[in-house]
Amino acid sequence: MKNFQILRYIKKLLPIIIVFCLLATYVIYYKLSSSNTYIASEVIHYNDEQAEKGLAPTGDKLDVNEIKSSAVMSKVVDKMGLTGIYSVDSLISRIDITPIADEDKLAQKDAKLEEGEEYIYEPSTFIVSFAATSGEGADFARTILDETLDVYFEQFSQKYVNVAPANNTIKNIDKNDYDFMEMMELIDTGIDGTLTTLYQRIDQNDFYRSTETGVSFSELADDFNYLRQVKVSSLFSKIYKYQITKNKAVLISDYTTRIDNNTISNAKADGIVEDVVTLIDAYVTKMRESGNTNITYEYILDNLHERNLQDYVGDQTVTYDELIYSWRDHRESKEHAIIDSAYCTYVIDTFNHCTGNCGGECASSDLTCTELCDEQYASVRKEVEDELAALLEELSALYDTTMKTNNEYNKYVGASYISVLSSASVKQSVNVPLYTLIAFFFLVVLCCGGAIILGRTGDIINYIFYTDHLTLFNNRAYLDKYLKSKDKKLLDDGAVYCLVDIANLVHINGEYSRDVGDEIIKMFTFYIKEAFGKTKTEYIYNGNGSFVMLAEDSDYITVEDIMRLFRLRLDEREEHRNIAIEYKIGIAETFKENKTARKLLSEAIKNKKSYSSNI
Amino acid sequence: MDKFLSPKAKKNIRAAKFFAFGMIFVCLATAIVIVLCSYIGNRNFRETFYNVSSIKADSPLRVIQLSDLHSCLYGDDNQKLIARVEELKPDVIICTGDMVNSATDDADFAADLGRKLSKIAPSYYVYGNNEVESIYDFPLNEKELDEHFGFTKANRDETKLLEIKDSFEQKLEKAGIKVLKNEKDTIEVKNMTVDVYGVLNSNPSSFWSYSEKSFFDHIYENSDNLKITAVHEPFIFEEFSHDFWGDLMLCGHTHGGVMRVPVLGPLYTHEGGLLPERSGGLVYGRYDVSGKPLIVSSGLENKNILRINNQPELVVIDINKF
Amino acid sequence: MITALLQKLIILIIGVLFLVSAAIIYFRFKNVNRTEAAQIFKTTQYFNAWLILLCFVVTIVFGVFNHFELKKSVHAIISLNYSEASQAQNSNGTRYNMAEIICDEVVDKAIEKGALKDVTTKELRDCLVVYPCVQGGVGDESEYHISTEFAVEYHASKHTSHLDSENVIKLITSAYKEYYIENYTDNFGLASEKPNFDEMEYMDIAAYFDKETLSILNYLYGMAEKNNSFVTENNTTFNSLAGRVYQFKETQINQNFRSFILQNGIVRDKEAYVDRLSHHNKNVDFDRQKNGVSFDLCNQAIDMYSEEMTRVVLVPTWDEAGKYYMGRTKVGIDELSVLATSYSDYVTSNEKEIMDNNLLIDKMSAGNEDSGLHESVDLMADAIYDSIKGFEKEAIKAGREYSSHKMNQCIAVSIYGISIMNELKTLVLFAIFAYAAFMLRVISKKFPKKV
Repeated sequence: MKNFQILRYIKKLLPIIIVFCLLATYVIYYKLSSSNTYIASEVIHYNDEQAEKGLAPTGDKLDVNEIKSSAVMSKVVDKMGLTGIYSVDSLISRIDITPIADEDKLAQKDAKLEEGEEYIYEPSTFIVSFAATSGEGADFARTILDETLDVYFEQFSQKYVNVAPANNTIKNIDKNDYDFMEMMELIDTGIDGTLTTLYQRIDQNDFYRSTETGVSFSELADDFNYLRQVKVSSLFSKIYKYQITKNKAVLISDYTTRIDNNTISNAKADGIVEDVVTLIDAYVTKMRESGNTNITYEYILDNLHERNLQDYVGDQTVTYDELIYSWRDHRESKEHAIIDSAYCTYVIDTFNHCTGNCGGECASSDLTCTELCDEQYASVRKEVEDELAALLEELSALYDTTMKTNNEYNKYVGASYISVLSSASVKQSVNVPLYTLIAFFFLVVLCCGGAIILGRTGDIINYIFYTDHLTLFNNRAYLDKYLKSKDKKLLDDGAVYCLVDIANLVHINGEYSRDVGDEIIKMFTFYIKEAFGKTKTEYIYNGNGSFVMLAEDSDYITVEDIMRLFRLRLDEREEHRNIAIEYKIGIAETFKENKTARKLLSEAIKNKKSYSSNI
Repeated sequence: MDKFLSPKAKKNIRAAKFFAFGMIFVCLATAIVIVLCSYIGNRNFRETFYNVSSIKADSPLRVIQLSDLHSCLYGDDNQKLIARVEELKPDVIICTGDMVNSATDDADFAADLGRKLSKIAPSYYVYGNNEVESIYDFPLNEKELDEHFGFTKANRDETKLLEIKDSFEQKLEKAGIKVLKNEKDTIEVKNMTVDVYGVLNSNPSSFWSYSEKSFFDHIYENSDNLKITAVHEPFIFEEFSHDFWGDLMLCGHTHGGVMRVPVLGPLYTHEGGLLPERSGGLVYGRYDVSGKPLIVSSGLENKNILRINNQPELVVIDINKF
Repeated sequence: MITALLQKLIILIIGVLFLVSAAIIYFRFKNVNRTEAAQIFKTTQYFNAWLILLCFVVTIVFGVFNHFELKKSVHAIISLNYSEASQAQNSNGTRYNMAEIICDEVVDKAIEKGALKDVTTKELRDCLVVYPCVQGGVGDESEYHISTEFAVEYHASKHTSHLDSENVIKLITSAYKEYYIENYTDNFGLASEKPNFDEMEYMDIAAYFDKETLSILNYLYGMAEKNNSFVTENNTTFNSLAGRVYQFKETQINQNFRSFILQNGIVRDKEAYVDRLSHHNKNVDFDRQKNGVSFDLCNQAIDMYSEEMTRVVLVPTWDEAGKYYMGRTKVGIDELSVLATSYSDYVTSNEKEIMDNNLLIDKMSAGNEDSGLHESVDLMADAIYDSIKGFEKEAIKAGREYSSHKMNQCIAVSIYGISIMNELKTLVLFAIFAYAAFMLRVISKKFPKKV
């Protein structure tokens, strides 16, 4: 069998190995790239000290998962114009929030818990990530993450810090069928509510100024106040003075109904107040009887420590206080209702008032006295309508500015409560170049291994099926295979076939023994090999002492010389000198006449000459 | 001589000759192609955008500078140029000289252009050397001016220069475009007050002698106004140093060096010679002069000069707060 | 598109030529022995005039297409120079969002500024990419990084190939800067339009002046809170400027203007104004009654509170400054007392408002509509308005100087167009590669097919 030569096996299949490795590497690269994901991550930290107790600034539970709530994501989808392209749920499912715990604090917590003490610690630093597919790209991942956090910061502030909204409650009131008085009341109430919210903002941060609108909450409050004092008041006074109404009867009945409702609710309130007073008395009596009220102001609770005791941390109202507040609230609503009724009466009286100029006609008419007899009524009414429209426009613009300022403030507060520790960074889930390189080397090793295995298997098969084990030349089966492969081809110029037959092998086997015969065969093998040397020749042992040498790149004279050398070596041998060997040599070549392999072989057989080696 | 050379040597010489001629041919062909491409490319102008910051700018302000048109046409009656200027929506338009080859022969051309520009935005016109040559019959350097007016250093009166009336100025102003000859004009644009000053005698020898007072009025009065200084040639900035020339300075004249070679820069100007930027010349683009931006336009002329890598340009300057 | 195809085609042809020649040499190498092969390589004429010329021409052609291709891509670096950038915030304290650099609003603005034709916002936006120049990681605290420099890349597509790439990127960065300044930098300013004083009552004009000066004061105090030692070019601080405005307000507006109107009963439409004040007083009176009732009820509730329920306990407590003290538990009367106090304040405020209005009513009623003082009051109003505008201008200028000093130009942009050196490098490499391919071809022809 041939020697184990790695390079020979690899060299044989080298082009295939290279092409296969390159193609397979490319396929792997393509698969990895297309299944790769881009993960954008950002680190955020809640600055408020309540966050470490798992609480938001309002004392409610801090739920970080709000970052990926549908409220936030739907806004993101809207903002990025992805409606119809991506569903909110599909984006939510790709967001991941991982807490980063402070190890020192965790150790502290564990230590405290072991001692039986309470220690509340929740992580306040989180990694927020969003995964995008390779088709979407790194840019998409980063953008979605940025927008999500933008919206979340704003919503966080709205929900937990800057709670009261500053909404436009008077939008389109002129489109509804309100009377002038009702519209003015709504405007006044709306401005009042807005001012309350604005004053709260001013308390939080008097000098905060929006960069988008260029105004502060103070300025907005001043603007609303100015409008109220000047334009709202002016309109009110005109409406009162000229009894301007769309429908007097409807207006009067509205206010009358209001008075009636107040009366009914007051009667109800009276009942509730009585019950509450009864309850309060009973409560105090019971507390006294039980001795729970017998405590002095010097009583000290030792084990109760409250850090940073604020005015209000959670609801600490006791039952008795709740009763007292309930009494007060019901009494207050009753008294306010009485005042409101007085106001309604004032409005009714104003619109029912008759100057006498109409001759009492207004009492039985749907029109007011002024409408009936004052010639200025129409122009004043037009004036009021125009001024009202202008006021609503001005208020709309102001509300718009307020909303923008408030929104920006929410973003500002959000950013002050939640800080970014690390900007969005994008990493690929799979290091494509690295894995491709590894795959390439792996494939090369695999292919080379395969080539070695295939080559060695070939050698083994050749040895088993096509090698003569005595001479280690190719065997008869190989010759048959060879001839079959050359059946349809003509041999090129320079092909020389040489036959060497040991003519008296049978006699030698019989005379001396088979072993001696084998040794003679081996000796012939050796000398033939030696004679042919490094020429490119196929050696075949055809059995029964018959050797065939196939040289495809030689000529007759060269082979004849080789055979002469062979005969010389045979004659000068030292082994089996006593045995007379008779042998035949036949040589044939293709020269200027291309022949088939079989024909050439036949010619070589024909050209056989006998020789003997007697020493 | 040939008969003493070996065949191999002869072959080498032939090969070398062939190579040399081949290289020359290829280089010539390349040069012709470059020139042709430049010629075709120069049929159109490009826009060059600059951003300038000034805290005096309450809101964004856009200035368009046209320079060195030399009576060229872009479309019928410069329709293409005007249309593009209009699309860019400037707040102020400034022509920094040499818009015509001759103020006498091409006055109608200039007036027509001025009329169209002034319909788009407030427009200003500063004289270049071509206008000066055709209007004044003497160069505007200190010696000639002194001689013309009979002034000495002690009794110079710079207002005398402005008293010389010229019909070109009248024609332009009638068309709606303001001519600035050592004078400033103040306009209100987008709630901002902008002072635009145009220099008539940009020759360094006569600048201080005949423009000092008007120039100082421009830069020191109402210092809160945004100051734009327009002058045809940039030589006064090369020659003199001053702590404040304006918030924005605009120049032309150099035609961007005509040919611009990569790495080396502008190749040649008449006054600066070869590679003028290397010797401190202000030739093309944006420079910093006393901490404020100076922009030198390469001009709009596309005939009579061979521009290589130097397309005619329309300069658009956006001024903002920061 | 065509230039891209041609550029790639040239590279492909040269590449194929190189590979094919190399393959031919490889396969025919076995047809010669080593000595013959060495001889072939030795005898090859490496300096071939034809080949050099051909290589030169091919390189020039490639260079032209390459140049046009490179021109389609350009990038810029945007650096945030203000201090808040290092905390990933905008200069107004809100969270910085890098995606805004190429948001639709910015792209729209760029298209408008450049009057770019035949391109939609989406088409242009699709050609832009923005990413941080340096990005950190989230694995460990040492990897955390806040990006303050961002790269914007523009790669022309078939929809935008007609645009000048360098101009596009300049417009985008300029539009972004403008967008940023509009939205995130100090934009203080009063209403630009002067109200029509002829249609306003004089007291309303005074109220208007009051409002405007308060606006300026609020701005100046806000700026002083940020940095009260900042000195402007005119050697003023925000506080000193605020002091002057305050003094003006107290003296010119409140003392001079308002008092003059009040004492002389100067009014345009006496009846309407008095009516207005009367009705306003009526409304305020209702509020006063409500607040008064609330106050009384709080007091009654305190009286009702059983003394036995007021017993308290003391609790060891820390205050906000970390100091230890004995706090007492709160009871309902504490809150009722606080409420009662605020209602009392409201009542007082309402009563004061009513009294002030009554005074106005008295004065205006006694005044003469045709007193002839209107002209002088109108002049005073115009003068005060001009002064307020002057203060506004000063305040804006001071604010802008401060912003300019603090923001350090806010955003700096560097544009990177085509680098001539990189182009030359590419050309040289290509020339070498092409020449190698041609030489290999020549050499491969010298190797025999088969002996």
